[in-house]
Amino acid sequence: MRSSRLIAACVPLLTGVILLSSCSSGSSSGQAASSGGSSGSSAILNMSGEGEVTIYTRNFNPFSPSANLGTTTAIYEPLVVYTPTNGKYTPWLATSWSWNSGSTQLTFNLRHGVKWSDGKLFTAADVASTFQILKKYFGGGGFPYVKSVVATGPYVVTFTFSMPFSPALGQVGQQVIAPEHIWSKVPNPVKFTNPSPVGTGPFTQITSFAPQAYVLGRNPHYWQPGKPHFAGIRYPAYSPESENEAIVQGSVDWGDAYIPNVQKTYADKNPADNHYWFAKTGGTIPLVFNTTIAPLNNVTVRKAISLAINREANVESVYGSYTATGNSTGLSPTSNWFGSSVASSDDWTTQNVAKANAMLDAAGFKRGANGIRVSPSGKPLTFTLETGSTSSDYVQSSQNVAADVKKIGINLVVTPKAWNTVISDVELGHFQVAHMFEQLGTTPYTFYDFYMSCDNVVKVGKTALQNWGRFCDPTATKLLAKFAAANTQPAQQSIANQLQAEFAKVAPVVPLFTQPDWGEFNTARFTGFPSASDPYATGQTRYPGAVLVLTTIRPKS
Amino acid sequence: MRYLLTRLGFYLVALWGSLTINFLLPRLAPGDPASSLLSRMTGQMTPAQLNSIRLIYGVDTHASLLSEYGTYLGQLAHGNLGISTSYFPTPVSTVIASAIWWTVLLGGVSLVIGFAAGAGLGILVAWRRATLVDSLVTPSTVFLASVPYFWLATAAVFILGIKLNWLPVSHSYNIDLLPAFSWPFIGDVALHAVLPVATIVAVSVGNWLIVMRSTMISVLSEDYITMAIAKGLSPLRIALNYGARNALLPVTTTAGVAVGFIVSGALLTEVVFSYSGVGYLLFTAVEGLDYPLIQGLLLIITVGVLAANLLVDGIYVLLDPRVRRS
Repeated sequence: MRSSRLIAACVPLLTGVILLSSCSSGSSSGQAASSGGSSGSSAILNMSGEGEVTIYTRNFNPFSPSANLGTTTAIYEPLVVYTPTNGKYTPWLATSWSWNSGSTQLTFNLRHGVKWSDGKLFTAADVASTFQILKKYFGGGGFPYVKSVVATGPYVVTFTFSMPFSPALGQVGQQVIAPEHIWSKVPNPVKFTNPSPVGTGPFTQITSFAPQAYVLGRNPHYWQPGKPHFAGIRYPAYSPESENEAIVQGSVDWGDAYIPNVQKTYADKNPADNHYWFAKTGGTIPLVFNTTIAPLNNVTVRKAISLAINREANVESVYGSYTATGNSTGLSPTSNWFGSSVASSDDWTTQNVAKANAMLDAAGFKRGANGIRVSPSGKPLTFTLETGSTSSDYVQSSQNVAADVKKIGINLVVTPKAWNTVISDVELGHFQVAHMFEQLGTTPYTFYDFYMSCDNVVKVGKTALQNWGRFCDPTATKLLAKFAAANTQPAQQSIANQLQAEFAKVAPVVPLFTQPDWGEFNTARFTGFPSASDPYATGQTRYPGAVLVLTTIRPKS
Repeated sequence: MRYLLTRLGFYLVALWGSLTINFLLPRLAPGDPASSLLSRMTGQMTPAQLNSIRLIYGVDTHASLLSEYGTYLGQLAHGNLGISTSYFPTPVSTVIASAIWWTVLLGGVSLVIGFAAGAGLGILVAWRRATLVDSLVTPSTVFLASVPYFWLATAAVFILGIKLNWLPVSHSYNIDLLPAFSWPFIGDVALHAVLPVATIVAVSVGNWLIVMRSTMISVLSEDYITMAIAKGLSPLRIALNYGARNALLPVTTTAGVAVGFIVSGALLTEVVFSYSGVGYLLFTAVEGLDYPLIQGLLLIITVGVLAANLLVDGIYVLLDPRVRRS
């Protein structure tokens, strides 16, 4: 977006409140977003984030997937916060937690003295009621394995699961908690827009609201003394086109948009203040194969395709090397679950065209007249490669992959479609090869469960919420059950290593690269943002770890 | 009376037809609102969460199209437009209400300016037809009218907005301001409307000019004009009071119909200028497969067009005695 002439003249001074009142020369109105809290700095942090909506409605329902930005990062808080940069869980509304021996019960000890923004005390009843609401109105809210949640003491809450499930810590632990004394009186939480939220987070007060921007002000009762260090957060509604421009122009203090060629277009414009950090902590971006179709069900064909790809060149062309290339474990090399011993014996994710050709020759896929191989049953190896047309990075990557794979006589026809269509195709199994997005969890369970578990295989034509490729691996399925039952780090790590070895053996999907977690920080007004040298969080603005940043950064005075 | 009743019946049938199309059209696209959310939140949503979102969005793969259609008509009969999925759980009517006034403002101002300028110039070039003014103004406005709008608007954004930095190119007001009934805010809104309005006027003025010019010319050949000239009335009085006044009648009915297209016509403008009206809203609703919001917006557009037509029909009855008699 572009500032009007009047404002543009004042931008070097500052933004927000102070700016407008000092620049609009005594005009009584058109006042800027006003400041929130009672003490400390009056600085307002400008965030970007959605890049999707140009109009806001007053929707701060913490259970709604379309609630306004800040609802689950600044207003409401979870029990624990997972930090992908170091794999640690930071105690938040809970101070500690413990498992029973069978991994079917998880008990959280809650923090004492936490108050809701209306001054009432936060207790275990709030946690229990939050999960009861999810169960009653939201079909379990994404936690179908939760059997019961009981407040076993004023500050103790016990989760009982219907099966051993240790990955639950990162899932139920990161669900934001809503106050019982408010939500128990809401007739239907599904249809409640929650226009005046009451939360435990650092910024809970809606100090101004307009369809194009709103400001969240300081929680007067925040449980961390002295925090947050600034008065509020402003969320302007940017369209995708205007979001990047606003970041580059410096009107955004913290953003997480993908900016092509970020060094030149952003950092070099103002080396003192424009910083970016693309943490390589995202999930793996894979090529997914429909394994109900021959010969895509053949591991030799999948590995040969993988061997044909020049991953370094692909990443360089798509992201200018801001990310890590995929490897045979399927995990990001920066993940602390990553078993380097598996990856070092990798024999199918480093480009080797001769080997790929030899493998296909040996398997009986002879080259046809036009150079495209033909299967023993006479079918040419031509497949469509689908991806989302709005993700220009994935389209570019798909084209690079297709060009590489052509060299071994396999024809991948790049077919960009609307993401809705792509998702519908992979869910129903009506696809051949697809360039999909990451599956990110706090443990490798998510990724391997998603692509290898027999439990998630459904017939073509039925909706597959996971395992789009319909790939069933009995060994991995058994290992996943063992992983879910293990609740200590060493035990989980040893099973994770076996899962990585199994993945490397059967290659259910072809890993291409790690999704970078974008983050742009303008330090002209605020300091303390995460960076490669201080990786206490990623730069992502929308996910649970954002609260770590919001309670760390402070204004320059 | 009979005429009006027949027209009313016709409009009811047209309304029902368009409601049905509104219902069917978005559903022909593959995918559902939850899958479009999944693509936005790539990887940050577990399969079980996706399932729960489908549930609360009311995406039921088992419900038949017919039963959904029944629910839809039933809700509409109660004036309920449903709940938007991309703004879940905000009602569609609230979402539209926060955007529609920007569109009405943009479309209304452009229509008034375009009409006034087009009709005014039409009178001028008809009065001075086959002179230098006519041969300059008429072809150039017609040329502008035939330029694809998207191209013209993008060029305006690029040159006047980005290269020269003269005018703001996105949003309906500076997002640093809070809406208030004050001069700085109104001024800012006006500044943000300059480019969108100017581009709409540029492409529409030629159409008004052509219509006005041709009716004006035919009126000017009437006997009473010759009579007026013979009486020695001033040329200005003849052009305005005798010529333009009569020529404006058919043009005004065209303008009435154009009112109905304000909402639908704003789509392209609002997308180019990221203007926060219903046109841009429709664009994002289609991207997010937000069926209830798409249906609500299409309904507004349909009702707008039908109401404007009905109004024009009513005016016809008042203005034209022949219609009343038949």
